[in-house]
Amino acid sequence: MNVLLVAASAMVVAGGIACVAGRRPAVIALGAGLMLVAVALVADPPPALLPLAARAVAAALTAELLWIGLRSRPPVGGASALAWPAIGFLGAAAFTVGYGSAQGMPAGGPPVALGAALALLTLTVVALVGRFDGIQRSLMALPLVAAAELIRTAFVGPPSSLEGLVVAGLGIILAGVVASLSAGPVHEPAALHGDPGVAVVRDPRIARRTPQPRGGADTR
Amino acid sequence: MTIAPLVVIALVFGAVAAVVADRGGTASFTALGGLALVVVMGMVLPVAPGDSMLAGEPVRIDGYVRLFLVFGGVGGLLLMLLHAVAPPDPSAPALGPRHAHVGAAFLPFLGGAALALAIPSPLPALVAATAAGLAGMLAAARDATDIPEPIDSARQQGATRPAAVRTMSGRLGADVLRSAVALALAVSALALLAGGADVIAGEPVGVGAAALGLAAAVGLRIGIVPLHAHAARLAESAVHGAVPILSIWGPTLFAVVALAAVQAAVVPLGLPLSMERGIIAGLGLVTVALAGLGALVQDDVDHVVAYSILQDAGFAMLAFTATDAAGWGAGRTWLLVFAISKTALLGWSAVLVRTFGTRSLADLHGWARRAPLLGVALAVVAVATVGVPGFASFDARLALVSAPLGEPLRWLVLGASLVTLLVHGRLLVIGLLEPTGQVRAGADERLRRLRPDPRRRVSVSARETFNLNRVPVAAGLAIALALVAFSAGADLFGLHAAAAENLPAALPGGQPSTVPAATFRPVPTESPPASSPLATASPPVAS
Repeated sequence: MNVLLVAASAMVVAGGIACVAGRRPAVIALGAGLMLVAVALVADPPPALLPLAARAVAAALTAELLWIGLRSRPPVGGASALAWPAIGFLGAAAFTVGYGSAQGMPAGGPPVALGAALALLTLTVVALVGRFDGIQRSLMALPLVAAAELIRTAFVGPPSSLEGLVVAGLGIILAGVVASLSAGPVHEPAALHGDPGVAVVRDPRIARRTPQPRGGADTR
Repeated sequence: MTIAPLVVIALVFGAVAAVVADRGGTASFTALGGLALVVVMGMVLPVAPGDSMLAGEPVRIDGYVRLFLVFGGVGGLLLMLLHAVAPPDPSAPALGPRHAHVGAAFLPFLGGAALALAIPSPLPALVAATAAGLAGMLAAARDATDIPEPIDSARQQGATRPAAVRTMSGRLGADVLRSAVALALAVSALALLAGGADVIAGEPVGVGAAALGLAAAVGLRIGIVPLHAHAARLAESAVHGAVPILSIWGPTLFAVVALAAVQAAVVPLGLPLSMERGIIAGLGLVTVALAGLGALVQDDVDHVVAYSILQDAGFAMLAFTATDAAGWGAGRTWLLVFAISKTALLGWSAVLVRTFGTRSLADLHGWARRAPLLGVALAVVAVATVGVPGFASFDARLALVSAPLGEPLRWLVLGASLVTLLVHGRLLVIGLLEPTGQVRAGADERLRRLRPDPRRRVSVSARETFNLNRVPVAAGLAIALALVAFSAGADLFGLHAAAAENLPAALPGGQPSTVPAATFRPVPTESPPASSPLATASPPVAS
């Protein structure tokens, strides 16, 4: 077993957990960026330097878009049904199952790719349960796209440079969608603001265009 | 010529136009978006069919790619102008100018579509098609919210829908997720077929499951029954500018690319796959029938259009049941005709609603008497969609039905698919009834001139004359859009021939044998004694 491939797979799963279970925008953005970069590393032979650099730049852009979008909006949909350690254990179990299954298949890529793909699919499904917020649903698309690329790597081998670029572009578009969704008016649960019984409507676009008094913008 | 400049220009112009639109520069946006669409089409038209390299991989532009991009560009340009010219939407003033969304959605879509259609390898093409389809989401998401609309209060006041309808962000998020699930499903099925070919080839169950996975991914995108509710609601409630990409062009592009994947990975195996093809055809036919019924009984114009889109999209599923190359040309022809004709129907409905200020068909009695140009536009759209023998649309419809179905059932299904004619006919008949008060109060399509006033500035005169004639100009643009759809349906630009060429090559890698492998090996119930001569002979293996 190649240690580097296992380490890259672990980074993929850890990034995926942060992306779907994180509540702070920075954690979500960093997790997504880490996952998208590490996905490119789960390949045997490893990708060339230039395509890898392009993937890293695209992942950084994806993370930045997510951070810019999400920092203006709290996670109104609440946390995932399970805490991140539980999701992590489930992901590890799924990784083991995927890795074991890949041993018996005439795979064109490393078996850890199928393990990481199964782990991402599992933690996405688990984190999705009971969450109906559009932003959180959109975020779940990122690990799904990463899982699709890993499945491709596991069965057919590593993607070409062009395919890697297209996947990177898809990640940026998904992050753009999340950022765009975050820009709309939000119905914040009053409990988040310590004022039970009062729903607060906040429109970041109005706040952005309205001159704000000194001492910070009150966007409520 | 390579497609890279085209893709880059479409994406960059799309991003810039979106920023301009977001900052409220609607006039600048219209000019910029229109210019960009014209530039993109101007780059597509002179491209000679042939191969080139992009990032180390061969890409190919053929006649179908050019037609797809040109029809998409012309449709987007006319739709953007139509939204810019039509009277302001009285029911949704808070949402701002809708035409900003059209260009912002179409430009990046065209860039992604050029990439998806030009890449011969189906795996990256599926990813590119998903990315292009999500471009429409970028435009729609800017108006989404999770604040519930006061539907009950609006309905109490007699309105069919609340005054200012915003797309719910949860619905959009679910659609993003749905696109990602479809991509993962399609890539997994294709990777299984390509990478595990040596294992599953000749095993009808394995190949059938993969073929079903590909078809399910397409069904998920276009919203076949029983996954239709979400697609229908999205088409009804998303901003009009984004609906063409979200509900029509995005799923169409994904279906075209998935069809190429089926032709490259499933059809060459030569397996009958009767059960799997029956399931796919059955779901497609149920969608055609139920969505047609839904379009016939709805009262809201947007609902009628949404179900009409689903009905004709469901018909495209029949292309995935073909056992040979016959489904390739017919399926691609049908998908492009479907996309441009439904775009024209969306343009017609937008002008109708904004002219008379209502979506309810009960309030729209007599609309065609008041707006005869719109009546002509709807009639042209109906002819483009259904066609007559000799038209690309009609021949493709007939070919799609003929492939999977036998003689008596074929004509029944063909008849059911022509319910779309009844849907258009119902709208036209309603338009010819006695006009309601709301229709009488709406603007007619006569051209008007300002009273001469020498003291008035020329620019003011031009602006006010334009404002006076918004309705006839918008109706003229709706007719232009319908004529573009007609040109596709009538095969005026060689769509049928272009769609049938360049059949995808079989997937590289281990080419499977088409000889079915033994799946059942009988085990002797009684072992012969060791001394028996039979013990040394190997038992016969059933094949």
